[in-house]
Amino acid sequence: MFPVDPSQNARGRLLPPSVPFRFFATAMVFQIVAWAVLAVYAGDTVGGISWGVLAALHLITLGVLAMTAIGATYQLLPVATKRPVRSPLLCTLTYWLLTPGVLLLIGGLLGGQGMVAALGGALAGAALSLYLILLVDNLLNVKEMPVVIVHIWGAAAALLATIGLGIALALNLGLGYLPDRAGLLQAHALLATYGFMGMMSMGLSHVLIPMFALAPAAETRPNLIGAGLAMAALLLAGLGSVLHLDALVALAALLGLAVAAIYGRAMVGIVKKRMRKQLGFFFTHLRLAWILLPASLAAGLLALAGLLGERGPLIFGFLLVFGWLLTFLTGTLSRIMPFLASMHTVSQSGRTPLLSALMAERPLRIQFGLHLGALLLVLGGLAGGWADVIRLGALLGIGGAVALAGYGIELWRRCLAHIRSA
Amino acid sequence: MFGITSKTGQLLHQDHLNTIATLQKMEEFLVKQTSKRPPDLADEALRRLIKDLATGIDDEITRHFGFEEGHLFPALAEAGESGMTDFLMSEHATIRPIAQDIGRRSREALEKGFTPESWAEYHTIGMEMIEREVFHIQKEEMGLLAAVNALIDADTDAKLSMIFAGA
Repeated sequence: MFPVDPSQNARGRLLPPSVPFRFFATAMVFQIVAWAVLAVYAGDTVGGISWGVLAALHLITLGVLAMTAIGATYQLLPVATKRPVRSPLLCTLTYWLLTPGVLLLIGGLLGGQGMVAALGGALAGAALSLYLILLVDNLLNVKEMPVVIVHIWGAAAALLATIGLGIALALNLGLGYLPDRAGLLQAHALLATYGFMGMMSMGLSHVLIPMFALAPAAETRPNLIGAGLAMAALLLAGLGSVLHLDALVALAALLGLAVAAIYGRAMVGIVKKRMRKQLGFFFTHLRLAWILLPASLAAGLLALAGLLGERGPLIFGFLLVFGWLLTFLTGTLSRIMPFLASMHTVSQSGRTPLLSALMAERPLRIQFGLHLGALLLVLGGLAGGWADVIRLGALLGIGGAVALAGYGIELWRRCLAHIRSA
Repeated sequence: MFGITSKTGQLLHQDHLNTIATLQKMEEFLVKQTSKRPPDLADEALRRLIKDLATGIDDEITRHFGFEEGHLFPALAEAGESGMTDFLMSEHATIRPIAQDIGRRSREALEKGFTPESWAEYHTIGMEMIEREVFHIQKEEMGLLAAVNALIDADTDAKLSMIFAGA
């Protein structure tokens, strides 16, 4: 289907570092911008979902979560599937479609330019479609690691639906042909978050957590059941949203809670059985994320029942996107960046650096503290309808995102210093 | 790490478990002791720990690394997997001299004890060796054992496991 790029790194499935790291670096920048947009438009959030809020949400979902997931899977999935990615050039092309796509979409949403937003959405859709093709190509005929692979197939299916709905909604911004977009918007949001990102996060957890903790993988059967339930929940959520059947969406959320319980049990089991006693600070992020997943589902159920007030959908969306997914991705990113960097960083004497020498823990600790503060303040502000509290939370979020970028810059500096060392 | 279906993979995994257990104990001791306080080698438990480390790490870099480099990696290269094995070989080349150094220093210490200077050096080199070896095992558990499962056929697996068991 694709030409195999001869420039592929001699180490086989290890891509040139510029491929994954351009995604990671951009995701760190977009996170700062996302919190800044939320800070600027904090006043709008009190009244519900606005263009500013939609822009901040898409900066996180497309600019940070999808950007990180794409960079990570391009590099990590081929190692797990033992099949090289078809072409690093196509990986890079994904980046050059996605980044301007996000910028145009956000600019269009914030500037009230429907056609610009539609063009941005179409570009982002093209990027995600290319990613989907490369992802599916890598997954075909893989029989090992069924738990991981089934989750990622689920993510791929959800991504296909997300892209279709997303492009339709983005084009509608410019052309205005959809008579009723509320149901499609909800389906798009649920499939993008719990579907694409959620299934991908859970699938990759089954590779990364055992590796980082040096522990046996979780049991296959219950986690395959979990993946099956998750897919059923996504189908119900999508149908319920499009058909405006809240009972189906509620049933999906209940199934989602069962999935979260199976997943949580698997993760706790892995951590308990680990050989590596010292897990590293990034596990603090992961532990928080594992709590926020069921919390987001519970909030979704409460919002659906109208028990969270007029800002219920926002509270739910914030817990889901800025809470569970962003916290999980940030923790994972902080660990896989030095992991991958160490494999590309060789001193003049041929030595790779120590991981501990690459990782600056202080900025990461600062990031976590500010991120946690941001989550609590924004949630409190949304619950109480206090714009200033939301703005203060968003400012803490900016601080946390800057600290994460500082962590990345320090990693880069330390890699360069190691390469130049004897 | 995933279900290890090959006999060779299971043996390598068991070796990893043993090595990690020794390294964990040593790491806990080094962190608790700090580099500034030389330990008292009259303590029998400590002498056993240092001896176990020297023996275990010597076994790791001779028998375990030797089997991988001499038998397993060529078999994987023949099956088309040379990128990962080249990378793991380069890590062996980095770990081996550090492990040899810590083995030599351990044996010397058991004979003569530590001075503040020799302990500070031992502490630094020991921590580096532990980190490198643990990181190396993480990669082998994720990539190498999966590759053995996927790429080594049953006959080759049987031959390799016999060689490793007899090594």
